[in-house]
Amino acid sequence: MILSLNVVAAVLYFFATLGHCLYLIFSDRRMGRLAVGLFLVGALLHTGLLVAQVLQNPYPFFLSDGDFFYCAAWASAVAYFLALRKYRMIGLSTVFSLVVLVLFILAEIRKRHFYLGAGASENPWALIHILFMSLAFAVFSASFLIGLVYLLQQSQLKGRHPGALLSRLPSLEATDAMHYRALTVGFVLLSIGILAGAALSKTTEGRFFRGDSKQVMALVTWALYALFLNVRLKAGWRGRRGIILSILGFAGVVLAFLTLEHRVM
Amino acid sequence: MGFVVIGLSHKTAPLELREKLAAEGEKGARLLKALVEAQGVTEGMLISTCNRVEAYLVAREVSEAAAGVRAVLGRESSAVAAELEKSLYVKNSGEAVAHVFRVTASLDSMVVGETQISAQVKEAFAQAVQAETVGAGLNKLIHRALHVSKRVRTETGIGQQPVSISYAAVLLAEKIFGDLSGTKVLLIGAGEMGALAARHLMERKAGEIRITNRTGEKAEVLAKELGASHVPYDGFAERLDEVDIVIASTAAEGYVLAEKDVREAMRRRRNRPMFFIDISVPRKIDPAVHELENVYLYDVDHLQGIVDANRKEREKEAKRAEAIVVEEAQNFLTYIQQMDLSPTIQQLSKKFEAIREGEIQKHLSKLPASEREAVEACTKAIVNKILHDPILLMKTEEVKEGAPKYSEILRKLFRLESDE
Repeated sequence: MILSLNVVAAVLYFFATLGHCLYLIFSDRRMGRLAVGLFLVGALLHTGLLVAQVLQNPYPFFLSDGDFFYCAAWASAVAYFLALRKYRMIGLSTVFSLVVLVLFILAEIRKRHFYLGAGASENPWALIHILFMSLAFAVFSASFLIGLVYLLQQSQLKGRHPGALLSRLPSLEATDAMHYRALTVGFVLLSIGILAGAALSKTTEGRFFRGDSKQVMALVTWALYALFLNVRLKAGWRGRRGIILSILGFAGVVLAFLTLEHRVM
Repeated sequence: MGFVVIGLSHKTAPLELREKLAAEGEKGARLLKALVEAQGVTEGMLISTCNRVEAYLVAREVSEAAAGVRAVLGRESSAVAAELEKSLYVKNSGEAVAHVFRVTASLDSMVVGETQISAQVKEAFAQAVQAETVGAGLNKLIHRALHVSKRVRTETGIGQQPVSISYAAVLLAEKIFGDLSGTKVLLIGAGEMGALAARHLMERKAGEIRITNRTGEKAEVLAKELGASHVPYDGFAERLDEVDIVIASTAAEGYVLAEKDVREAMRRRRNRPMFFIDISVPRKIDPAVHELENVYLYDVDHLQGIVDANRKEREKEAKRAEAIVVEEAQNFLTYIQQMDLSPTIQQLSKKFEAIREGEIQKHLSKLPASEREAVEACTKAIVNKILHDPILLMKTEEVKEGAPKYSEILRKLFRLESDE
């Protein structure tokens, strides 16, 4: 039942995202409103399913990659509505809609368990670790796409051919501010997630750092984001250069989250 | 009854002729009154803008009304009849409806997609309502036209992109900074184009405007006019980092801003973006500043390029809008036809008459002629009396509002064939 409803939610998200893209291309406001409506229905269903899942499966909640992405997709859906409320621009929401769709599909196709070692699932640090990492992942995904939106707008303005697309996206400064804010929030979430992961490692294996590739990648990513926030603040690396650096950081995120696994203890 | 449009526009008449016909204020009211008093006209409104003078009418007979209105226009304006004859167009029924929709949706405007026209149509309609020259027909037509105009704006991108240089520059500034209320603007030179762009920026609530010019007096006058502050010309580049938008519109010799000045300013403002609009010819800002990170420089040619591209985009969108207009005009005509109850009334009378005749034929055919005449007169009177009240009721405004529903009920009750 839950599985088939998940397919319904995925289909709703898919058509909502398609509607957003069509709105961007044809600037038909009816299409935009329809897309937002579809997204809303999809998000409500998604919320219901998430609650049902948590109720059905008492603590620990998030034990597989699938749950992780499911939670991340939901966080992005919340970000979608926050962004829509603040900027009232359906063009911008397209970014969030796309993130939600991709994460939701990932949740459906990656349902294997985490390799957290024996006893990890009963450990509260595991929940905190996975929860914060999934939120960080959602926020970084959104900031990555916002960064791409910035680069697209910036290159159009530099190329002196601002197309009609620009009128459906927020200003360069707003995009930059949003990207910066998302990264700051993501950085805090990632830091908490890493600390919780270290604590988890300490309680299950007796040491904070095990040195597996996923941990190393997480630290490299953290360092890249720390560097970004620092150079922006200190050296005024605003705009394109800073955003390219943060995109490198996101590559680290994707590598750490998707391709490398925690070593099986 | 039918819709008629009679008038001339920038497409058919030169400015001199449009000027002669232009009717605003009292003259407009007088002309409107004369129009609806013309032979065959039952309702009317008059729209007079710098691009068009048109009368939208409901008339019993189109050709009669057209002749009447032509005569009125000839009489009321100082235009020569031959000139008028060449420029006037007359459109009726479907063509007229589509034309009114097209005008209101700004597809017939000189600058396609401009936003003023639908407000002007609304205003003209309000004046006609005040003068009590509109009835149900024009009321429906104009309301539908405004709806179509809104639909065109919602479903196409027709009015989204700017088509004037100074406005394009303002929108670019918004594209970079978003809300302009926190931005500071520096206007170099007291030229007309620069002042216009500064005015546009002020309309968009730009935070602060500073003006600098080689001759202080001119800048001070303009600063007073714009409510801006005046900055001394000497050394203004040293305080460049304080402003976000720079408009150069000056006749000074050589570059007034070199790449070095801007690079220095960017360093001081920690790379926060700057937008330079150079509308001087020859250019007054070193083009190399555009290469700096977070600096955007647009000169007249770049802005003109954007305006040209936008015009093309509007033309493309106008084609989509045209399809909406055609569809809406067709729907509106069908709706109006359904609103008309007279065919149903005719069929009803015909059916009653047929029954009466049939029954007389059947039962009283052998009566002598004199008696028969009396019976005929009597039965005709009965039928007429039966039908009198319903027919009267069907001609009231209240019933006309729900015409399609009434028509359907009558057809069912009395088994009226629709193709009779």
